[in-house]
Amino acid sequence: MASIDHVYRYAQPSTLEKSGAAPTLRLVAQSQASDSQRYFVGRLNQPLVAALGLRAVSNLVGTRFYIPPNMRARLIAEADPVVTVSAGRVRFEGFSACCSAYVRHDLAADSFEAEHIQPGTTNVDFGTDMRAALATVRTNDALHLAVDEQAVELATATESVIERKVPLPLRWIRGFAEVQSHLVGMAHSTTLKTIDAQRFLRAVPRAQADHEQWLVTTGRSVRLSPRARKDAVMVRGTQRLRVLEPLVAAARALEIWFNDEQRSSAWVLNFGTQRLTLVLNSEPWRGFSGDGQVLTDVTASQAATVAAVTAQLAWQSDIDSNALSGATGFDSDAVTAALSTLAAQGHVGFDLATQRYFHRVLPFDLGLIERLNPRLKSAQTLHDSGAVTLRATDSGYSADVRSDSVVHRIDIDPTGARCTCPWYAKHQGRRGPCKHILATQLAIDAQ
Amino acid sequence: MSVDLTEKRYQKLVRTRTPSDCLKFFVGMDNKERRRFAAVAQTTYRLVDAEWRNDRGQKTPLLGKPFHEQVNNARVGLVATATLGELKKLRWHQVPTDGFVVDIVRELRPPWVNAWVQHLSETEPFAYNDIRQLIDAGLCQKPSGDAYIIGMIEGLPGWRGRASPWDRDIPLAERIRAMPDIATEDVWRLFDIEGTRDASLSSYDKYIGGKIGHWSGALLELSNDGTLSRDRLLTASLDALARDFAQYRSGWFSRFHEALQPTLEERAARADQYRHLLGSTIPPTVAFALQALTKLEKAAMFVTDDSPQSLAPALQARAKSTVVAALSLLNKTAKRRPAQAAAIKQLSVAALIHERADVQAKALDLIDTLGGVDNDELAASVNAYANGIAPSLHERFNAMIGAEASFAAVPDQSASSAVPVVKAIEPITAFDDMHREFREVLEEPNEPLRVERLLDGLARCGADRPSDFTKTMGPLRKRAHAIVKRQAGDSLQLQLARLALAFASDARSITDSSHDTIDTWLAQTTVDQHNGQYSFAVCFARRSEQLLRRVRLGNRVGMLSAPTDSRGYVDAAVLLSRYTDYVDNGLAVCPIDMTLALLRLAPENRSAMASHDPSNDEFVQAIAFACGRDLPIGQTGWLWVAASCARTPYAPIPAVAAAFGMGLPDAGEHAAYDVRCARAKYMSWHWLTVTPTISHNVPSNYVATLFHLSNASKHNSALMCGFGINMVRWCGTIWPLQLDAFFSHGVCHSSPTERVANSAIIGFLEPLLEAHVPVGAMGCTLIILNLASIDPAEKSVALEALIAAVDDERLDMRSLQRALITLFEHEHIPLGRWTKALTDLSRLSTKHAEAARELIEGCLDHDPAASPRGIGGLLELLYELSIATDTPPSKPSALAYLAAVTGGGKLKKFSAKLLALSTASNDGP
Repeated sequence: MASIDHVYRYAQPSTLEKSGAAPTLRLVAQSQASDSQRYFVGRLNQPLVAALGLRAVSNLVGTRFYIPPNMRARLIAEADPVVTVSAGRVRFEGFSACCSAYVRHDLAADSFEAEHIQPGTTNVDFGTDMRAALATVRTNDALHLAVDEQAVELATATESVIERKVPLPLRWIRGFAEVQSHLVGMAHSTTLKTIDAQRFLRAVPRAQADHEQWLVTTGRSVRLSPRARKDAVMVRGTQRLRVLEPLVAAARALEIWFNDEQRSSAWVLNFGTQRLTLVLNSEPWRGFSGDGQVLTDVTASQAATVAAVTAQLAWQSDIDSNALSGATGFDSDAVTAALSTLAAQGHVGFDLATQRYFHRVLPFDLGLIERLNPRLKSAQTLHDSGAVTLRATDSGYSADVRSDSVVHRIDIDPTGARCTCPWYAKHQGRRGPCKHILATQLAIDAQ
Repeated sequence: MSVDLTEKRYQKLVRTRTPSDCLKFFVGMDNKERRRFAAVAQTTYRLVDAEWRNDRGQKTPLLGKPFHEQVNNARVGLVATATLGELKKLRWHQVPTDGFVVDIVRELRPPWVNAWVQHLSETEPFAYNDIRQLIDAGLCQKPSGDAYIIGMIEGLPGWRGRASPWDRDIPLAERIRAMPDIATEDVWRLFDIEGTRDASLSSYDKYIGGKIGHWSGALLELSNDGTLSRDRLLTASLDALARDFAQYRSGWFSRFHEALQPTLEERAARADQYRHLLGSTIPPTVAFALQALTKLEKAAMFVTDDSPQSLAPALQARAKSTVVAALSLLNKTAKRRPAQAAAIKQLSVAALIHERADVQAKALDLIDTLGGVDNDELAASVNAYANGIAPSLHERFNAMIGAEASFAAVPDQSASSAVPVVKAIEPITAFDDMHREFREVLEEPNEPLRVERLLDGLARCGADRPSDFTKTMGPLRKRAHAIVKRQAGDSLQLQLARLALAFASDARSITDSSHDTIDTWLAQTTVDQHNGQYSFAVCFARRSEQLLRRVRLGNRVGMLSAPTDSRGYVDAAVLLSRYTDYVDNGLAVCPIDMTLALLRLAPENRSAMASHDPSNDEFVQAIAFACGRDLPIGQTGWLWVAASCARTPYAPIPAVAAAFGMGLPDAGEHAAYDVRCARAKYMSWHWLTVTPTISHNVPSNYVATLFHLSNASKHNSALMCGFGINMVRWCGTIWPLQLDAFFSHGVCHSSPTERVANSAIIGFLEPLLEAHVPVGAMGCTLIILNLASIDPAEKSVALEALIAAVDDERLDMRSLQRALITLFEHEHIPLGRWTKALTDLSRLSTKHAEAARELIEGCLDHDPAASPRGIGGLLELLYELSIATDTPPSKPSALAYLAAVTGGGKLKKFSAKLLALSTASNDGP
C-alpha cells in the first residue's frame, strides 16, 4: 500500500490544563517552519458535547474497522485529526485507519466565545492521553479551548518537541478529497429524535455485520432490514455506527443522509450549535479513496474558472456560489464545477447542514492526490503510449483502448461513459470512471 | 590485496570457519572497504543459502561446515557490509543468530546502529532480545516508540525471539529485577500502550503466560516486594482504563487492578478516577468502575462530587446489572444527600431507555421513592420514553405522569408486508445486449433469474456473431480466463466463466491447457470439479454445455427452462411454444433443461394445457400430465418423475412411484422430514432424516431427489449446492413450487453457533422473504434455527423472513412451534437468543406481537421439569405480550404447563403471573 512518511511535529503534547477557574483544552498544532501560529483561543459553551465529539473523532481515527485477511496485525500509527479554524466554524475531521469511515465535528460560531481567531488548517496532537483527559470533562465544567503551536514560550526546550513519523497511506489523504463528492450527492432521508435514535443505535448489533441492511420505518420504530427497499438508506458494517452511541444522549436529533448513487450514508448528530457527521462508505472494506468520483473533476479542463475561484477563497466557513459567480464573472454552473474540482484537490470541504462548501487547505502535499492516483497514472500511461484510438460519433465519442492484450470499447455520450472492462461491469460507474474511460477523456481533452 | 583473492579467502572462511572468524575478516577494514566488499558478501550469502535450501535433507555438505552454519557465517558478512538502507530491507532470518549481532556492532561500531535498532523495534517482533542485548552492552540507545514496549511483552519473558539471553525457567519478575531500567521505565509504559491484535498484555496472559509466567503475576510479585510502587500501579491501571483501549485489551487492566486488592482507603483516594471511568466507551470498564464505587458506598466512604451527573453514562448502559447498580447507587446517594434528590430523580429517567421491564420498573421505583413526578418538566422527560415502556408497566406509567401516556399506536402490520407483484421476464434478443449482460452477470452472479435470462439470451442470439467477434470478446475472454485460472470463489461464477471462455474462444481450447477443450469439459461434467462428486453445479454445467453446442451450430432457440416471471416459474403455454421451436428445427433438447422446465412449471394457466392435445410426443404428454391431465405414464423415467413433482408437489403419485420411483424421495412419493437434536458430553447438534431413505444411487436426472442426497452414504451433502451463496441462490430456482427440499438442505447445513464470512445459509433463507413462497415445516425449521444464529447476517435475514411471513400470513404456526420445541433440546443454543429475536418481532406491530405470543404459548406443552434453561425469559415475554395483545394464555396445554411449574426463579414468578392473568380473564370484569 502506497504511503508517505508524514512527520507530525509538535512543540509539546496537547493537554487538558486544570489550573485556574476553568480548565483549558490546549490542542497543540503542528509546528510550521515559519513563526508559531495561534489559531484559536476561546471558551466553549457546551464543553461536554465538544469533549464527546473530539473523543469520537480521535477514537475513529485510531480505529480499523476492517482488517484484510492477509494483513499482519501491527501497531496502528495513528494519524492526527485535521482542524480547520475560520471565523464562523471550528472543524475537526479525520478518517478511520481503514479509510471506510469519515468523521467531522463542527463547532458553529454560537458554540464558542472566541478571544482570538486566526483562520487556518492544521493537525493537532491527539493521542490516548488526550482522550483520557477529555473523559473527565463534565457538563457543568467551563472549558477554554486553545489551538496553537505553543512554540514561542512553552517549547523553547528542544527536548519537549514531539516528532512522530507516521506512514500515512495515500488513500487516507485521498479520502479527504473523495468524501466531499459523496457529501455533495447526498439527500436527506430521515431525522430521529434523541430517544428514537438511542433505541435504534442500541439495537444495532455490536458484532461485525458486513451484510447489506436497509433502514426502514416500521410502525413505531426505525430498524435495519436485510431486504432491499427503494429509497431506503443502505448501510453495511453497522459496527461503525457505534462511534455515535456515547454521544447520542446529548444530541437533539440524528439526521440520516444517503447518497443513492454511491450508496454511502451520513449520520449527523445535531447538538444545536455543534454537529458530528459520520460518513460511512457503502462497504466497510472499501476506502473512500478507491471510489474515484473525483477523478473526473481532476481531469476536467476548467483551469480558468478554478483559478478565478481559488483567488476568491479566504477561509470562508460557507462559500456562497452565487456570490462567487458575481465576483468571478463565471456562471453558477461553472463555479460549482470549479468548487467540485477544488474539493477533489482537497482545497474545500462540503457541509451537509448548510449545503455549501467551506474553505480549508489540508496540511498535506495535495499534489500527491493527483500525481499518485493509481488509476489516473494508469490512464495517463495508456494515453501517453498511444493506446487510445478515438472516433467521433453522432452523440459523442467512441474509442478503442488497448490495455494489456485486449481492446476495450469505450462509448461516451451525453448519458455517460461506458466501458467493456470488468471494473465497469462490476461497478457501473459508481466508483468513478475506469482507467480506460479516463484515458479516453484525456485523449478528448488533448484534441 | 586484490578483491579476487579476498573473495576466495572470505568464501573459504564462510564454508569452513565460525562467525567469529568471519567477523575478524572485517574488523580491520574501514567503512569504505567494507562497502566495496558488500557485493561479494551478498553473492556468497545467496550462494550458500541456495545450497542449503536445495539440500534440506542433508545436514552436512561434503566439504566444510554444516549448511546452516555456513549460512550463519555468511549472514555476518551481509550485516557487516550493509548500508542502513540495505539493512532495512533484510528479513530477520537473514541476521546472524545467537546474539552475534552484538559482536558485530561491538567490533565494527557502525554509524547506523541506533537507526537500525529503531527500525528493528518497529518492524520485527522477534528482535526484542537482540535489541535488549545491544542496550545492555551500551552499544545503542533504547528505541523510542510503542513498538519496543509491545515487543517486550512477549520478548522479555522469553516467549518470542531466537536469541534469548534468559533461560525461560527464570521467572519474569526475576528478570525485571535484574534490569533496573525496565522496572523504573519500561514497565510503566506498559500502562500507556494498548498493544496490537498479536501482542498485548491480555493476549499474552491468556494464551502464553500460563506456560512461562503471567505479566500480572510478575507485577504483583514486584509490587509485594517493593520493587514497583503499589500506589503507582493502582493509579496507572486506572489511567490505562481511561484511555479507551479496545474492550478485550482493556480487560487486563481492570483485572490487574482488582488483583492488587485495593483497600477501601486506596479506592477512596481514587474515587475521582473511578467516576471518570463511568464515562468510558467500554461497557465492562463502566461496570468495573461502578462496582468499585458501590463498594465505597457500602462502606459509607463514597462521597459523590457536586453532581451525580457522572453516573449518567452508566444509566444508559446495555448491561442490566450496570444500570441496576447505578440506580441503586443513586438511591443511596439521594438518601444521604436529600438536597440532590430532585437532580437524581431527573437523572434516573434516563434508565427508562433500557429494554428490560424489570430495569424500567426499578427506574420508576426510584422516581417514586424520590417523590414521584411532581413537575411538568419531569413529566415531559418521563413521557418521552413512553414508546419503549413495557406493556406491564403502562398502567403504572400513566398513573405516575397523571395522564394517558403517548404510547405510540401499534400498527396492525409492519411496513415490510408486500403484495406479491409478478413481473414478466423479457428475454434478451440482441447480441450486444447479451454481451453486456454477460460481462455484468459474470462479475456479480447474485441474481439467479438474471443468470437464467442471460443463458436464454445466449441460446437465442449467441449465434449472431459480429464480424469483429474475436476483438469484441477479448475483455470477456480475458476476465473469464482469470476466473477459471483462479479456480476459487463461487461455483456459479466459475461455471459462468467457463461458459464465457468457451463461447468467446474461437479455438476449441478454452484455457491455456491444450487438454481443456469443450469436449474434455463435457467429460468432466459428470462430477463437480470442485468436490469430485455430483452436484447441482454439474446440472448447470451440463445444460450450459448443450446450450453452447447448439449456439456453435448456429441455432437460435431459447432455453426451455428459462423462467418467464419474477417468481422463477415457466408459463406452460410458453413452454409448449418453446418446445415446438425445437421440434420444428429438429433440435435435440438437453434432459436437464427439460427437467428444470417441468419443475418450474407455473401453477397458473394449467387447465388450458391439460386440455391440449398431447400428440404422441412424450415431453408434450409430460407437460399435459404435469398440468393435471390424466394420461398413461410414458417410458422415460426422469421425465415422468419431474412431471409428477410439477403436478402435485405435496402428494404422492403411486403410478410414477411404482414405475420409476425406486423408493426415492420426491420421485412419485413425497419426501417427509424429521428434525431431531442430540446431546453428547461436550456436544449438541441437530440432524435431519428424510423418508423414504436413499439406499442406492440416484439417477442424475432425478433433479428434485438430488436435494436429498444428504441421506445417502458416502456423499458430502454440504457440497450439493456448490460453493458460495450464488450457487445456493441458483439452486433455489430449481423447484420453486415446492421449496421444502431446498430448505431441508439449508437446515442440514445451518450452524447457529458458528460465524462465517459470506454465509451461504443466507441463500437458503432468502426465498422465504418472497410473498408467494409458503413457509412450511422445513421453512419454519430454517427460520427458527437461524433466529438463534450468532451470525448477524443469518439472524437478520431469518428474522426478516419471519416478519414477512407473519405479514403475508404464510406462516404455518404449528410447524413453527414444533421447530422451536425440537430445538429447545439443542444445548448449545441459549434460549435467550430466541427470546431476543421474538422480542424484536413483537415490537413491529400488533399482528407480530400476537404471532410471537401464539408461538410461545404453543411451545408450553411439555413437562416443566424438562424445560431448558432460560425458559423464564420466554415466559416473561409471554406475560408482556399477553398484556399488550390483551390475550391471556388459554390453551389447556399451556395452562397445564404453567400450573405444573415448581421451584422458584423467573420461571415460577411469571408462571404465576400468567396464571393470574388467565384467571382474571376467565372471571371477567
